Amino acid sequence: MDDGLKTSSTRTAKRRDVAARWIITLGGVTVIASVAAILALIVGVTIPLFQGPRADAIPTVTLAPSNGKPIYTAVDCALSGGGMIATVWSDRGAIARVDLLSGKPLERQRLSGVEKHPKHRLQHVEPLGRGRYSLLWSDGATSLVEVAAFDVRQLAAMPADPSIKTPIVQAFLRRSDSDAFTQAVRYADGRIVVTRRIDAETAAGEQDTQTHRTVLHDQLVSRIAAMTMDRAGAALYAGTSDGRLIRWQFDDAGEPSHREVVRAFSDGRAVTALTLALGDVSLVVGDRAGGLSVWAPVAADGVQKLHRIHRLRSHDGAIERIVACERNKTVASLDARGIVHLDDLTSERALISVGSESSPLQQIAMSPRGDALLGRESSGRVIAWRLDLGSPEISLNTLFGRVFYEGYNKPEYAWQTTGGEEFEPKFSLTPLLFGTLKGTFYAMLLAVPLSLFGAMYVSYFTTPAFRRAIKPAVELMATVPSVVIGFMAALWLAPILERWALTFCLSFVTLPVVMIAFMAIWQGLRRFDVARRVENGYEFLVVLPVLVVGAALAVGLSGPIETWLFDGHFRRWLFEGPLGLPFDQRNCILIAFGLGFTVIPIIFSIAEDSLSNVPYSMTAASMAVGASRWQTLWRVVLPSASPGIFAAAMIGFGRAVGETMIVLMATGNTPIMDWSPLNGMRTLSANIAVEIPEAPVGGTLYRVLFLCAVLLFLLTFTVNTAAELVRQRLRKRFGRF
Amino acid sequence: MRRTWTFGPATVVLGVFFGLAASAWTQAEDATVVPYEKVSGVDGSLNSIGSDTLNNLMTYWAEAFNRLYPNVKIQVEGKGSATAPPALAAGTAQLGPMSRRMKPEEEDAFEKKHGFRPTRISVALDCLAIYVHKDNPLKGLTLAQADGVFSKTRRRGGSEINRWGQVGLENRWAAMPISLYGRNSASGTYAYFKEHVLNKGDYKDTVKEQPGSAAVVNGVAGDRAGIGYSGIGYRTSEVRAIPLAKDANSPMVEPAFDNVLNGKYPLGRTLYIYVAKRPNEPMPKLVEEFLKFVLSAEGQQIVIKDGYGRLPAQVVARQLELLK
Repeated sequence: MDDGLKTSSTRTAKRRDVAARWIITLGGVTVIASVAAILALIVGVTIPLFQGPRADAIPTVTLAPSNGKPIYTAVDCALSGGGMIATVWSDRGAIARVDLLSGKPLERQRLSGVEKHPKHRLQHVEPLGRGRYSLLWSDGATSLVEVAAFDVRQLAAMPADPSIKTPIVQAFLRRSDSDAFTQAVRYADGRIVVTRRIDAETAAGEQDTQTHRTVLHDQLVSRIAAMTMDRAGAALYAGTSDGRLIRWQFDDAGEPSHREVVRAFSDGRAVTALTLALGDVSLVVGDRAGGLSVWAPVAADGVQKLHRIHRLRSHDGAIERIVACERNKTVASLDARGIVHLDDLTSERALISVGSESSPLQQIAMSPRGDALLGRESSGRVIAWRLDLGSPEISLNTLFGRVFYEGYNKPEYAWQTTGGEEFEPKFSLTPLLFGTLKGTFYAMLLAVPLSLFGAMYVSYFTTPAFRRAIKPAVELMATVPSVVIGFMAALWLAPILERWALTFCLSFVTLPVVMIAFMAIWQGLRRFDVARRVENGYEFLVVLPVLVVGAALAVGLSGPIETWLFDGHFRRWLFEGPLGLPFDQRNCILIAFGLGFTVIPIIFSIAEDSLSNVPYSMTAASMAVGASRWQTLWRVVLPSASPGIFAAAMIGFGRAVGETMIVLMATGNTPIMDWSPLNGMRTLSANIAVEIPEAPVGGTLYRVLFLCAVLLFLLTFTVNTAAELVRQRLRKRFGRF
Repeated sequence: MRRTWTFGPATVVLGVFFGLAASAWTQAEDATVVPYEKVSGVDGSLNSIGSDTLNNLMTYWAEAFNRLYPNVKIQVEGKGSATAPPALAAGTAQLGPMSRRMKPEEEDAFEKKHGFRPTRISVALDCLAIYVHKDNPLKGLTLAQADGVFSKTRRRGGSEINRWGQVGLENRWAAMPISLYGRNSASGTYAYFKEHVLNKGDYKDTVKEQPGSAAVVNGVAGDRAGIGYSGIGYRTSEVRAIPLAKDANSPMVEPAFDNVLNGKYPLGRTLYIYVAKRPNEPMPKLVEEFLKFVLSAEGQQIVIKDGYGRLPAQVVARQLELLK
């Protein structure tokens, strides 16, 4: 009977055991599987960043020779439906549209400019982006037209100087935002004439046109082999046959205000093609040897000088034409053998290389969205490729290395992702990784000693009653939402900390000094019985006023010291004195307090638990052989509890690395790389929170932000794994219970 | 009416400072903007997702519109202009308030989904101001100086400015380093300032990016060396909006809507609501009536109350044309 009962209850217990084991195993496996799934998900989003670009050739089409000789062919892709349309400009001043997929001609249109002088032929078409083209006619006139979906509109026209009879080599027309028109004409004898026309309305409402004509006299002019101008007509660039680059800058009236010549190639190779990349800052230079380089004005000693900022993949033959993409900093370059290279300026990545097998290409064009490339052979055959460039601006170097961005003085790590349409996005993750580690470092610097010593005191020195009260109180700190802490730190603590900056620094001196002095006095006082009774767990009652005295001393001294040593202004002295540190109100000290507030309860609680769990028998044995409390703690308790204490610190570290709201609100999210505790940082986690609303889903920024998440994961994963390994070793060595 | 509190930093900060955000701003009344006429058969629900700058204004409009049509439910969410285009494209919002124009990629994404371009309706004027601490004696800045203060690329050609002495302050201000405050990149204000002050250059890394317009003003209010930019609607007594000059030869102009309208103040901008309207088809009645209300005398009165500038009558007329 008794036996039966026993076996039945054992059986139940066993059954429960098995069930529990399965449930726990299932739970554990689910947790691991979910973490793995999350990781796979975020890694999956980042993968397209590193996938190569694609170019798919579509069947070639031969343009029907009608209504004149083709001069220029543009290409555009329909947003939906996958259609691709070529726009052919003929020398008779007509444009015809051809469906590249079916080869069928679509509508046909005459250019409005041609109706005025039907005898003249179109000689050259230069695409300026956003549907604008600069045209050169056989009589030397230039015009600017805008091609919208269903009509062609002439924006401006300017005749050539009738007094010059020399043939024209190259000419174009530009229009600035303030409606100033600039025409640049290069004649066969080497002269360059720049004409600026400003249409203004007078106060009386009459049209007032001012024209200013300049002839650029230059001993180098005769050697010019290529020329280009920015879209506003403010800067003219030329390349010479002996490897020089010339830049003229024009003022508002159209007068050249600055001229600069740089020897671009020491071997004197000829410049054969010039184009300004999107944004009109970077000049892409193609040379006779097939080299492709990028130049931009770089400020040095207050002067802007052309400087080579990138070098792209070389061609095997001389570069004939360079075409800039209208969407990003990608350029297509065509060499004499008919090979087209696509390269990205920022990352210097070689994207795609395509070419025609039959006859060399005469002209290339890229679609406005950068999703198609077209090449026209002299025979009239047109080949086109559908492009998927992916994220051309991303490479390991742009993510982690220094990059020479346009407008910068030197290669830099920079994070600045958002700007206008012509913006060069900067995706360096180095400042973000740096910021994450910096913020965590200062937070741990404050939190680890405070919470560990706190835990030691509470678990080992103080009275049980006090311990019962203090532990939940500290743990209660963890319940304060981090958004509240961030808010308080940013708007309440920051101005206070700024005002009392010197006092804060002084307290690092006054507190220890006062404390040591107090301890010396205490040695004397220990003779009295009252004092010794205080030592049994009530030390903090005596130390508290001492700390108050130390703090008061710092407050009192800060005024006079600021006057004597720092010329009355501590922040200014920090900035201008030998340290040269700018004091920012949103700095790492603030973050140390903010993050510390969330991390301290975690570290304290776990460390206190592991200290209290050291068996009483061990401390009792230590005391019995005559060790002091401190000796017992240091030699017996701490080693035994070390795995737990280490784990506490590491969990705190993980919390600090991933904390978002406090850093988001209390720092300025400044992506700087500077270890100074007196300025801020931008962490990976806050960066994700700040930028994800701006990121178009599936775009480069979106994917880079997911890469930030992967990095954050890897960071915590490595630290936690390392910590676990260390903990295991510590446990093996010191785990005596 | 329900106000959706999204768990975004901007809304949290904004919520706390909600009371400070609106400062009354005087602007001459215009008689030619017609009052709103209530029509029958308006009900349903409207979602608005977009600009943080327009968040308060949208809420006020929604409240007033709701008083006219108690059966209408309007939810307003404002995390930044960049959140409007995807919401409009996906159809999760019928109204997309934006403090800047859509970028071509954003319009493309919309067109890909719907087959037509989104319609842009101007609804109010904003005046971007540069704020300094109220004790700061700064007289004003030229745009080139502001560029030198905020930019590391300095496209306006000025020199680098990092101390108050470099913009003419004296005595103890002279050596004080300038402390920079700005918006985060999701904000239309960030993009606008970048384009119009930095000439599309880059911000310095030391600009402290704040998650909301009110947070910028509060940052400057608590930092004597601070300078920051934000809409004029967020002005408080703790900060001073400084006059700006287009260049060294132009006069310093106070930030005010009259100066925006006459083109003297360089940082005026239009605020928009984007909607999805099929060409040659009327839009949903609820959306149309809401926009008509916004463009009515009452709607524009709310604009003035919230510290923004109302549209001139002829602009309102042009916007009403777009609705048809």
